[in-house]
Amino acid sequence: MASGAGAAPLLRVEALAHAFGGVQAVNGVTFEVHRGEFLGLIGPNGAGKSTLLDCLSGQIRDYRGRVVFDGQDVSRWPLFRVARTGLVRSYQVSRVFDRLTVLSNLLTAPPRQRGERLPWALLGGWRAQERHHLELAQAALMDFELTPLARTYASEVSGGQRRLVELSRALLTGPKMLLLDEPFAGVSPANRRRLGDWLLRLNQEAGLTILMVEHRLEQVERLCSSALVMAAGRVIARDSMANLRRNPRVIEAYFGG
Amino acid sequence: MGQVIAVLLLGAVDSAVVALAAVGLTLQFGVTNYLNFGYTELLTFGAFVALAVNVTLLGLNVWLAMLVGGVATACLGMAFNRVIFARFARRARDPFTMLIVTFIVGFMLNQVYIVIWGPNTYELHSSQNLQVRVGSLSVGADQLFFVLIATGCMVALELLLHFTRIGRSMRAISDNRSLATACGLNTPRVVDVTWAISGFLAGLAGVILCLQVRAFDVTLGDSFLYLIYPAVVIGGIGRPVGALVASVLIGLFAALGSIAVTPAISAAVIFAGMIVVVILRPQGILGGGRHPSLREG
Amino acid sequence: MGQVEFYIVTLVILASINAINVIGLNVQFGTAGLLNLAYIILLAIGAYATGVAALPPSPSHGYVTYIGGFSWPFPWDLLFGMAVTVACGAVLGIIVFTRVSVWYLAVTLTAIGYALLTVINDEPRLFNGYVGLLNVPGPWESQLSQADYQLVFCAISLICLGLIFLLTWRLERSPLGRAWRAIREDETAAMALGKNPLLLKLLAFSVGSLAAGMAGGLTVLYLGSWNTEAWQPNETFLVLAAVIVGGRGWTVGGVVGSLVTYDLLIEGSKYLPVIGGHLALLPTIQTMFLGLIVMAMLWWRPWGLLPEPKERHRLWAWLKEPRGSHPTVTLDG
Repeated sequence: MASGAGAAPLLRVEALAHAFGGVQAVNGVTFEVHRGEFLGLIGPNGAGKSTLLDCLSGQIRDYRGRVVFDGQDVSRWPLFRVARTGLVRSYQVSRVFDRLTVLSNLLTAPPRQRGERLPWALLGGWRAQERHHLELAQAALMDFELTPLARTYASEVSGGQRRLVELSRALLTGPKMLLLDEPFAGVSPANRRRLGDWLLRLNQEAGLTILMVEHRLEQVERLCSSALVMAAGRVIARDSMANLRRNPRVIEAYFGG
Repeated sequence: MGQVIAVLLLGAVDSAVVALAAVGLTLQFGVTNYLNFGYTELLTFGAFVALAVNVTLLGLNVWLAMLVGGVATACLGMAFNRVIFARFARRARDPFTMLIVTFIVGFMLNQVYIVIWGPNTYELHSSQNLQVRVGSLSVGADQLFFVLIATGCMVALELLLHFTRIGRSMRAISDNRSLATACGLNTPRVVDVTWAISGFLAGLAGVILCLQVRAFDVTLGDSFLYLIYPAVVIGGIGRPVGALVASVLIGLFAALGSIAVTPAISAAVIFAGMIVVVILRPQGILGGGRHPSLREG
Repeated sequence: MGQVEFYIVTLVILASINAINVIGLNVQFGTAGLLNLAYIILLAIGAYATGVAALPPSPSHGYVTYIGGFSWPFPWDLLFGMAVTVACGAVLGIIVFTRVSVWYLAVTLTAIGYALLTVINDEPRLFNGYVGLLNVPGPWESQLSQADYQLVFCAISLICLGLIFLLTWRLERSPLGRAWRAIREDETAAMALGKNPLLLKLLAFSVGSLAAGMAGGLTVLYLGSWNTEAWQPNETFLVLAAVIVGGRGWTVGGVVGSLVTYDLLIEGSKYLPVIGGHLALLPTIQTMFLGLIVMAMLWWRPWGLLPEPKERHRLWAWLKEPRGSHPTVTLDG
């Protein structure tokens, strides 16, 4: 649900463009996302959705245009600097740290850990903060009933659980906005509803802003207040799903030549 | 003036050796997606096989020995791939494993050389070095032949890559591995051929090198490592044409450097050039090489 | 001191120096995933720097030439060597870590290794070229009897081992160690969580360089000499073997690995049949044997004899019973 229209947008994208291999993958995209929105990003294959996400998050850095997040120009910043501003992404194929336990995976997430700085790592003084992070991680584990897996290597858990580890780990960074790249990929039909419920709760109760790339239109319909439609590198529409279904340009993009 | 030409010719031979080796190495990387870190030992292998057929066993003519050396190294490369590398490559989940395995195999190969040939130096029996008149100067005919052979190989390789099915498969895999695999192009046969070519070029390079330096020992391949690897990097890892161009530049530079400054300085400059390329233009001077921001493996 | 005691003391000294060396590469490769195939040059830098710090100024008649020559006593010569190694390691790191790919790292470092070898060999004014540094004075060597000197050096090397062990042990149990392992596992994912890979890699590389510098310095002080024969680039193989065989990613594994490979090489050689009287071939055969073992480990047990433990501190003891009822979500994929 969009917050007051007068408030400054959390994310503003201006004329984003990126080409590689001779293909203009993103061709002048401009849009805004307001605080508290749950925005979908849909479009046919090859429309440039993943590339757009890569640019926004800083995975791709040589794009043209501007990205302003929370009042700060983060254009062409590297991935880790963008993440630190609170714009955090997930991946289509979940990326977890294979030879770390699930618990350790979660513990890598909290930002500004004292123990990661050399003087403290050497001399100590990080344990109090670590204990606090441990409590946060424990809570996250309990939320998803992953506690029995806490000491399992992340490489040994199932696909759906990996997705969950990745998402809860992203949450533990304390983000302001999530960029989700097909979070329902690889999730069994039985569990899609639960994942959707959780995302909805995050957005509605915790007020987390979310931009979600998704192919499964029924999920977008259920969760998102509105959606952007991309085709051939451009945004061709932004509306509620109901309206988009009737939009002739959208129909053509999906089913047309 | 005559000296400059002689030096340039020397540089051309250096370039030829580096080019053959660098192209072979970068080609193999393009197809298999890992770099053979024991590659320079294959050069040494070619040289010692040539030694065996030329001096020790059969007394074959040196040019024939060169061919035998190349073919033998091709077979060795294919054997290593089939027996060791391909298996590890299938099983490995990270890029380190192949790096270490190829490193170890190369290292052990070097140990075998030490066991068989020891610390001695050897020399091939080549025919009289005919002098050829170029304008007002005499240059060694052998040197010209080396350059011609190398050029011939490069041309043959280009033809293979562009006009044969296997060559096109190799290029496809190199350009877009996942797509090529999905299309069924990434077959063991293609990998075999790649290793054969890579080995052949290495062996050839090794024989030319040992003929050029005359007296050689088990460290032959390693001695050119500091030229070959930079050539691969400067040309863009995975890009044969780039490796060729880089090799020519490096060879000329090394030759000029050997008369103008000490070899130490020219080595340092070449390697500094490699660093510059790595930092500023990691896809190589011609572009199109493996983009370093893609996580390999 | 009898023959046997002398032998044992020598063994302890060499084994502890070797362990320090392995610990360094283990931090770089085992924990942080930086495959430094030219690790040996860090050892060499440590040795050269400590050597020229300990030696008197090079004689003006110039048949032995080298830079430096500060005549510093122990421990300042060693500390100098370590500091120089860390600085050089940092420079190397800045060059190679700005690019992500494993291949650029490996190729560049290898080429640097060979180039450095060539430069030092061909430029005698640096470190006396191929002949190398000679007559490097050890800690209080001239003031002690031979037997006492051995014991003192033994104590020094054990203390150094203890210090570096403690250092790396603390680091790898800390969140920094966890961050290192995160970039080892998936650098992109670590970046997506806000970790700065360049900084983390430089830190790991520097700690490793510190250990390598220490090992190199101790070696040159003990042997009294150092030249390019002592650090052929593929000597890195032995250190790498120790890391792989012992246990990647933690100090204990590194120490065990150094003992095992060292033991295999030294003790095992007594039991290998002498092939046709070619005693000179023994080192070669030993290293080939080691090569086969390493490949076998990579195939069956890539994480070493002692794989790193799952949790680096007793977190599980802190996990309490689930409290209260939360609306829960489970996904079992």
